[in-house]
Amino acid sequence: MFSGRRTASGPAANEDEFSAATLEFLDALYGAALRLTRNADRAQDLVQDTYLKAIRARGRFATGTNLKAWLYTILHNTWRNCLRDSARSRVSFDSAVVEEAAEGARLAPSGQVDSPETQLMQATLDADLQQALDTLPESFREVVWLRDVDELSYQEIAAVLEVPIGTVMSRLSRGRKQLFVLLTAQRERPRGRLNGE
Amino acid sequence: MNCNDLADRLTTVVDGGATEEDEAAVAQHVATCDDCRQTLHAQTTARTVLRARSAQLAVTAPPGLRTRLVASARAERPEPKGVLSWRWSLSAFAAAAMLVLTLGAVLLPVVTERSTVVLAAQLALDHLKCFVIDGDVSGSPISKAEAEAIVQRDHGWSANVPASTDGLELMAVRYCLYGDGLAAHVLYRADGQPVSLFIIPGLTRPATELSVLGHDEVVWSHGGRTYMLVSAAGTKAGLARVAWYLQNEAR
Repeated sequence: MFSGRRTASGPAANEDEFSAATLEFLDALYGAALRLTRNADRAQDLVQDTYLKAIRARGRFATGTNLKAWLYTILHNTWRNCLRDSARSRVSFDSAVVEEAAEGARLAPSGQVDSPETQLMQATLDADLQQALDTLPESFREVVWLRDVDELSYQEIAAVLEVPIGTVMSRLSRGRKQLFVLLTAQRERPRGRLNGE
Repeated sequence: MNCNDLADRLTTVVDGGATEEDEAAVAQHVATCDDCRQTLHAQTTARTVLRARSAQLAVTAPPGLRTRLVASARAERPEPKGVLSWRWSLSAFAAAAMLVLTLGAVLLPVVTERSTVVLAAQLALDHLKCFVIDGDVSGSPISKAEAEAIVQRDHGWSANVPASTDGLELMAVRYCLYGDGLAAHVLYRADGQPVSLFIIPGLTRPATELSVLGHDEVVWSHGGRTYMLVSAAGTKAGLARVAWYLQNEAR
């Protein structure tokens, strides 16, 4: 049965049980699809493709592993293929460019570093946090989200994104730093520009 | 200690997965390195904020998405052979269904006394309703004892319900429309294809095979009961094999 870390009962798990376990992550999958596609219709299509592929491939789901991470892997693969197959491929990730661009975001001046975290947390409205996340380069946003919101392990994130663990860790570090900068900037100028001094 | 060498360990400390040794190394380094101390603080703060707000950040899938997914998966399941043959002429089928249901409401008990064909048509509809239209019968097979208990509970009479065998799975027993629950509807899957066995007490029909409404049916009687086996058209060879097994078992 499905419990705990959401594992299937065996490689040939019953389709209905597998489907039910998968649908428990519907909101999470839709959220991930929305982050990637940035379009509600395309997000739904992506979730549907992901779901059907998962059902078809359920025999290959390894018992005892994280079903959510496995589903994310399929979702990201599907999206990568979709980008590859379409004219939209011009917006596909160029990691080097993205990470270079992110270097432009510098840490806040040291004067602010000592502010209590709670103060920042309370001052950060959810809309602002969402906006800051949206501002992050996609490859950073996804790593930060998978780790800090979805609590996937480095290993699982590496599998989802098809990148080495070292890349996961460096994107995570840079993504968090950039998010911190964005949040700090918002606190100073709540409705001002988020980025760039 | 070089900052680059320390970067990954620092991230691991933020994520709470560092060894004591790494914790100590990072603590020692940030005590003297402003850049790394800032990095540690920025990472920790970002993670703390995200963890605290993860519930607010979560989105909810649109209301129709779940239904859409389930429907899309069902549409992908192997079509029972012959189902397409009724789908292509769905309007003709619907007309026939209307006719049978209309007749059924008023005349069925009388008509079916005379016409095996009309009875067969009614049961083809019940087969479709339970298996194809009402949705899947794809859970785990049930035991002979469970099936017989359901018949006893729902109908008040006992029946010998043939158990699963090689290539044939006993899936469910349903209370069926025909004759206000007169017939017990036993649902099987034969090599994955839906097959219905209807057991109708108090009725004796001559053994026959017929095709109606896109379905093949095998009819036989035993012990004052009529048995009708229903499957989508085009599976005749398989149906004969199933019928042979059930005729021997259901005595």
